[in-house]
Amino acid sequence: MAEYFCGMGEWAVGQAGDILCARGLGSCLGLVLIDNKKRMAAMAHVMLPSSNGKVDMPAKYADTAVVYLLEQLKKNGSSMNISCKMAGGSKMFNVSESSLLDIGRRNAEALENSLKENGIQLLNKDIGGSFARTVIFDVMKRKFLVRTIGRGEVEI
Amino acid sequence: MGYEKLEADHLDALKELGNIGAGNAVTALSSFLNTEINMEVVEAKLATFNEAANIFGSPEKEVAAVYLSISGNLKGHVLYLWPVQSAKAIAGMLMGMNPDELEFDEMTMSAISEIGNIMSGSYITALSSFTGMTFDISPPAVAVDMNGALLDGIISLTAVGDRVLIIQTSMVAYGVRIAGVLAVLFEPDSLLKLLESIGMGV
Repeated sequence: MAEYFCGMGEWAVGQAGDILCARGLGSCLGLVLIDNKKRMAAMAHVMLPSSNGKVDMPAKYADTAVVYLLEQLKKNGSSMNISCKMAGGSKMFNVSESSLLDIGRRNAEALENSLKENGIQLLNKDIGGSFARTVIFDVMKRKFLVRTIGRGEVEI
Repeated sequence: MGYEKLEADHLDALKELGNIGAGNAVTALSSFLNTEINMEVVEAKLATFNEAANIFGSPEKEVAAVYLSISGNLKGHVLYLWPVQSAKAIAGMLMGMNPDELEFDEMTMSAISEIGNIMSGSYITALSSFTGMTFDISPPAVAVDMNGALLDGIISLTAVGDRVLIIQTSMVAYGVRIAGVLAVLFEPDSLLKLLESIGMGV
């Protein structure tokens, strides 16, 4: 029984009784891969759309995070019958001329592409907007909560 | 460029740039609000993502932020962050209102935005005249939300490996108990150019 906090670019694998979370997501995404048969899941706190070939932090990039989490699940004896949920990818500031402009949207698109390529079903998502999110996944209950300031807490 | 090539001298030079910018910003704000603002600490540090995203403790802590983007010769990001009570105090000062009665409505947000604009603008103007480089600054954008979320896009865009270089100034106005942090982050290539402009090429 443990609570794992995935900081930016970090990841974790949890079993029954564990809680996985990624706090204070803006343009970043919280991705959880859920084992449909066993009580097991993996989370990544994804920061950027593309790794451009870098291998130092696989959970940091949308194009490497999915494959990396799948490998970690396999190592931990997952059934490899996997579905997923994700949240984040917002645009925190209303700017028109910054490189910040569409990083959240690009993150979400890249991650969805990568999920499709790996044949993983996206059960639900809560992305975009201009507000912060914290995501919390209870592995035992398979419950994915999205917490915000001023918009309450929703299960997706 | 890899940040492993940055040495203590480079960080000292960036800290000095931070001092020049922040000195100018504090003077501008002091005269604008007609009160004494003190500059506490200027740091230039290589921080991990999580150190950078947790300026006020937890990444979920609610803060107010004014953001300006730097374009032109250099690409970078200026973010002025206040805990919500400080943001209300400083907005109240500008609006002549009791901070406890303020909500983050359009008027308060606009006051916060103006203060962030004045500070960041004078900070960047000082950097520009010192380095001889042109900095184009965007209009200010303001938001009140979780600390981590307000920083994560900027950290993502300025990261090298698992680190960011952050030039950070803490400011305190003692009489009115206002604490804020001004964070400046340059994109990696721009940081290199900035160091070159002051004869500290990596």
